[in-house]
Amino acid sequence: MSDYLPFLVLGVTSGSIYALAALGLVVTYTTSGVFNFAHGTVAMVSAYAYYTLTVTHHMKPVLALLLIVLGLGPLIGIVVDKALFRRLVGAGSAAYVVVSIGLLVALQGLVIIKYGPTARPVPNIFPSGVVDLGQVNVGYDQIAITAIAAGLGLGLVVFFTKTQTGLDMRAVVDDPQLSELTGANASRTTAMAWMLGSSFAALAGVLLAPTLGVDATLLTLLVVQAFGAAALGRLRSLPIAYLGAIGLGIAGQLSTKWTGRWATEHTWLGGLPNSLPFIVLFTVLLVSKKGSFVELTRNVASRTQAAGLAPGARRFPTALLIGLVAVSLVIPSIATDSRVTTATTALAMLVVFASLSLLLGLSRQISLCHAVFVALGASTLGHLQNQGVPFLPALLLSGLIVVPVAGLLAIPAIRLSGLFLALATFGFGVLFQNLLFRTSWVFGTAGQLGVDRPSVFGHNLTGTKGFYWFTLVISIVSVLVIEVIRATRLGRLLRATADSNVAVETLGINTTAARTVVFCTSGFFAAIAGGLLGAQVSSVSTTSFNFLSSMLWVTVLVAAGAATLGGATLATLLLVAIPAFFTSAEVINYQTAAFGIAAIMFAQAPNGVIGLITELPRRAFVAKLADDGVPRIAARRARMAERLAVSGR
Amino acid sequence: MTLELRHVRAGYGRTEVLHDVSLTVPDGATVALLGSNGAGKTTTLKTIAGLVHPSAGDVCWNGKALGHSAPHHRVDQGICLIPEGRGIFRNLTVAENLAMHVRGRRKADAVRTATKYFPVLGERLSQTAGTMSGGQQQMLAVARALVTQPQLLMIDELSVGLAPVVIDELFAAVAMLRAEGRSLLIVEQYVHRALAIADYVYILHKGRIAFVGEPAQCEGGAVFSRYLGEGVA
Amino acid sequence: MSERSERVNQHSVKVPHSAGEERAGGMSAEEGLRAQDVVVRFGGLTALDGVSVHAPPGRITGLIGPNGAGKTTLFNVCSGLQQAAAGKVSLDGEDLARHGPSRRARMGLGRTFQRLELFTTMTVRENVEFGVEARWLSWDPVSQLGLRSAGRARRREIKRDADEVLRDTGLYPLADRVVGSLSTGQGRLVELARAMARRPRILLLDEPSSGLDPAESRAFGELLRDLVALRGIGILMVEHDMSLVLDICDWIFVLDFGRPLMAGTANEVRTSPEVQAAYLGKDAA
Repeated sequence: MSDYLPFLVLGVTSGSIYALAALGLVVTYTTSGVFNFAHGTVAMVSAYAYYTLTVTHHMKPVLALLLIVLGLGPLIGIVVDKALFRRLVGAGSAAYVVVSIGLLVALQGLVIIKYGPTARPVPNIFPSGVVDLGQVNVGYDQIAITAIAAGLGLGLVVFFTKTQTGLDMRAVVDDPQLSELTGANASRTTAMAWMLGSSFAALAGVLLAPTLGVDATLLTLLVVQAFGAAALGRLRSLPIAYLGAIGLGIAGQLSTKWTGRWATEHTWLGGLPNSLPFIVLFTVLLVSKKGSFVELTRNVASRTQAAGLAPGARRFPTALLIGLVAVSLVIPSIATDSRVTTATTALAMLVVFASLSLLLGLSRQISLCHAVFVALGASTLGHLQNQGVPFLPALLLSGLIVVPVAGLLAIPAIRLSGLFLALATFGFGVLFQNLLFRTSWVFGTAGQLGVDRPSVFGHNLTGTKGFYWFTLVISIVSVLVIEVIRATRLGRLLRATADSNVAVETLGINTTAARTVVFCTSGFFAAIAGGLLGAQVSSVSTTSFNFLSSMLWVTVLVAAGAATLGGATLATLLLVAIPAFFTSAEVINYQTAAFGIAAIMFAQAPNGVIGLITELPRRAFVAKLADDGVPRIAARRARMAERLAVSGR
Repeated sequence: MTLELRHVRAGYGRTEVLHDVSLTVPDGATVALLGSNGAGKTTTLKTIAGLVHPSAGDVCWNGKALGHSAPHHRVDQGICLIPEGRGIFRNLTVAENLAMHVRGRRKADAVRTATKYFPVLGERLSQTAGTMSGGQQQMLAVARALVTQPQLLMIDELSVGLAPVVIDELFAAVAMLRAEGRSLLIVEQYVHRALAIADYVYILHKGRIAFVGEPAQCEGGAVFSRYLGEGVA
Repeated sequence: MSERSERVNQHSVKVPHSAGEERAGGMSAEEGLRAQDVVVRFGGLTALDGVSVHAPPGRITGLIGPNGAGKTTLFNVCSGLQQAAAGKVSLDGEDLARHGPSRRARMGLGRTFQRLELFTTMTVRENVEFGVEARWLSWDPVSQLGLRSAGRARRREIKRDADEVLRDTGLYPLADRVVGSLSTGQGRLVELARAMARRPRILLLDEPSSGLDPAESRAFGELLRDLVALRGIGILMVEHDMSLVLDICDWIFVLDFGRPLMAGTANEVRTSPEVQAAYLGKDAA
């Protein structure tokens, strides 16, 4: 037993870090009904603010802590509430998810713009020094964090059950209208709820900054790990979230101990400790009883909402299409090699976006793990090439191999929707990334795999221009197939299912098959695109694609327009083509921030920017049409009487 | 404390439900608002409570137009709405529900009052409200009126889905409130019960007032056909 | 019943002139939808306690009762969206117990909903065409992908059938409007048209006149009568609009607190002392 003591102690202290984050997540969700994906990013912003105050302005750490937790945190909370989520009342959960992801991406970008990507050290709040517990040394800061997490957990429970404000917050989430009828100011209560949740995030950020260093992505990652703990309590229970977090901490430490022995032989075990939170997240969502994960508040519409897209808006204007194809045909002749390379990447990314739009735009399901299929496509291609398979068959084969993996996602998709499907796909993505990416099956023993360019029918296409033509052909074919799906029966079926699954079922169609097919197809083309992208840079590694890529792609596509090819094209142009014209590396960060903000703005638009552009002339036209009103009864009666007379009744 | 609606038009989004509603609830009177489904009874109560803003016309309380004031302000002025479909917080306990109503003041008194009239609530103070039976939930909803002592109490479909004997108990509590001199505006599907305690009756039909009069004028088959909408333009 | 004989029966116009008439195919004519002694409990409440209804083809059957009497619950049990604790539901004599909602629909049970379940991103025509197309789609992905004949002939047939339904329901002038922009009344017509397009044997209508004004309600009632006469379907209708129910229903079941109160013709219900008592409250109160 004493053998385990160090791990238990370390588990409790590291678990307390998760607990701080998990408590904040649960607080936000239970008081606002919104699951804030950007919770960790708020923590990160606070950490950077702490850096600015203590290092740049030489403020005392404790003072800075108080200022940030009691000042900046609530301020961020109010802004997020009033500017972001208040506008979304009545929107579907997809809009809420996209807005919070957009916030994550935007803040991430903004922070990197201001502070750069390197980690910075910050002064400690607590005195440095350790306590000797025999087999393990525990730092004062670790003890403090553990104590604070436990104290806050208890304090929150008391707050929510014993104080009027806490009660108000729970009531407003339960039934906002009724709470107004009892005399509670729902608007003010919601604002206070956001302030509270944000303060929690700020506290987590500042407390962890000295230990972890102030790093743009680290804190976001950390809070993301707390999702699993929060999910254990169905996002609603503070005690379970706390205990779950401690449990995850302990389990993580213990698994490090156990897998340490075997990790060298079985590389995937090395990723197990980091993956545990996501295994928990994915499993909890997957095996939950139907209906245990439902939206908490009435502010979130229970059905996917999408305003009517006029049928004409769905078709890509032919003139523009011809123009783009013409442009793509002349690029190799007129552009420099580096521009041709950019164009090649753009073509491959077009396939990524088109395949993502099958899920996001057509069946309106949020998938936050698309990067997994892209990465798998590239790595499988590399492996197959190592076995001597020629490029084209290998590319197709990689697509087919990824299909069952993508099809797996259909299982949660059938039981969950909206926020919870997004969380499940998110968990799946990070889980895959942490656990399987490091194995030799995926990226080889070195963690990096070479991908060769093709030579087809004896033609060597490894050169820049050669590969460009190859990619052009593959991309056009892929996009064509996707558009055909959108325009034909399966596309209609998916759109109808997204509008009303129960209506489709009661019309006699079992929707499970169609949903599985769309996930498989999406994964297939994502894998193809991955192969192309891998060959483009001639290698793929564990760091090529990660969950942040998935999130970024979702924000870009939603902002540009998820429902049509036009949107996917615009997304590609925005993500790939535009930065190529700027030489500075900084552009990426501005771009990221811009995408985040754009996603927030367009979360509710039916088809992003493209939708607005195509709808504008159409809307003006529709406004001119008079309202037809209820059909003329007399005329119809006459027709009916005629028909009855004719059929002899 | 008089409530007056003057030519109110109201609805939800693009759908207008009330086209022209004028009614008065004098101080201390009990008024029944009847009509078939979709007539606009709930919308009328919501408009008075402040959950719906009229697009035209006025809602006046004590001579002053309420305009667009928020519901929680109207609660302070003595207007209380018990909404349809069990106006309770399902995820909170019985005690917490009562606490929401009195908001920090005299919580213990509230519990005592509620328990006095509905003993079954006293036995279930720590039970989650959503797990109680329909009748008990409705008792909790009505207990609100007992503990907050409003000047105008509006009740929307008290008896929906409840057994007659439970409805008897609830209406006994309502009768007591009436005896205390509060103004009551009651929407009720069971016409007879409403008529038994009302001073006078409005019948709403498709967003307009179709009939105003005393209960005696309603007795028998005539009100049944009015209720069915037959004979109304 | 084989798929093909199902279609033959659907396309032949059957209007039973009297009880017991044999249909093409030699099946028992008056079966339709039958629910027997259905019991539903959830959360400690008994929503339905031994309710039986029968909706034969060629007739309009009403299901009325005060709010909370369990009517939509009964519909959900019939469509397969909710489980019953006891009781049996059968369509044309075949027990529906082990069949899911989509299978029941393929067996001929159509449905509309209290809260409109329209395809809001599509036009009226597309909604109705979906209903028509659903006749040929079944559970397997091959047909759903349209890899089988979605040829020109089939597309023409779909358009023709959809036009017919659109004209019958009077929606033809609105055919190209996006559904999200319609009023509730118009939306109800679209849902009816879409359900009709699939040519069900029995159609469950859940408060179809909710949100319609008196003129629209009256027109709707006549439309239902005409559709039944024309296509021989059976309708089971939950309604609060008593005038509509008493006007067009051939037979009415009255529920009260999940229990059957009485059943009879419109006149019998109208003059029944029990129904008056149920609606007007107990005299003793």
